Amino acid sequence: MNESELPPTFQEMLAVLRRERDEHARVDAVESNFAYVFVHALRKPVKENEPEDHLGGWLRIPVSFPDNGPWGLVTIVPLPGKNGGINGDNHNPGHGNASPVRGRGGDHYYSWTWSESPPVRSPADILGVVRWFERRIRLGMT
Amino acid sequence: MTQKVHHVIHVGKMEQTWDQDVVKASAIMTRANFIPPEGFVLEALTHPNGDVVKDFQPNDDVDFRDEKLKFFNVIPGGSGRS
Repeated sequence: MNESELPPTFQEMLAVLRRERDEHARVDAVESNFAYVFVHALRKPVKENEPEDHLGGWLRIPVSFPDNGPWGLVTIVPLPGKNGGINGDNHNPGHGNASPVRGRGGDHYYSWTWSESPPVRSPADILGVVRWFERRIRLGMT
Repeated sequence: MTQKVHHVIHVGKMEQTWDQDVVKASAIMTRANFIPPEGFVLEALTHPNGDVVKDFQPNDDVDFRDEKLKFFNVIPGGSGRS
């Protein structure tokens, strides 16, 4: 993935994300105007020895960010839900939107939209976006 | 003689001082430059970047006499559903 081909504001967003939240965040794919940005440690482990990459996921961030908000999350394993189950909040295992990162293990697509959230305004708003995903994941776990 | 109360809290990297014991979450968020605060959620944390102990919607009261309410983050709200 050649990040230099992404729009300057998107590259600025990546710089903020790596500086403030996850220095190892990476862009693994771009398809249909969405970049698949892997962010580590979106949730805490719920069992012993969970692999690190199971705790993160790919945020689907439009390459036009911040002109448009994120749409969806792809994970390797289902997110934990209530009472030891899985998080069923718009959970779509095997969904086509996971295809761009399926080779890296991505399979579970959570179709979470930004439609009810405050508009993103600047590349630095990625930090709020990541916290929003963490919150959604956490709410599914409680 | 009563001593004036000052509550020092941290919202992200910003320090805020409040003279009141109880304020609206929206006031804290506005002072942290989330304007308008509607659509955002105020999260109280155990410590900076710590675990969430409580959520506040903009119209909720935040009582600083609760010792757990010292560190906060403001995050976007929204159900995630279209």
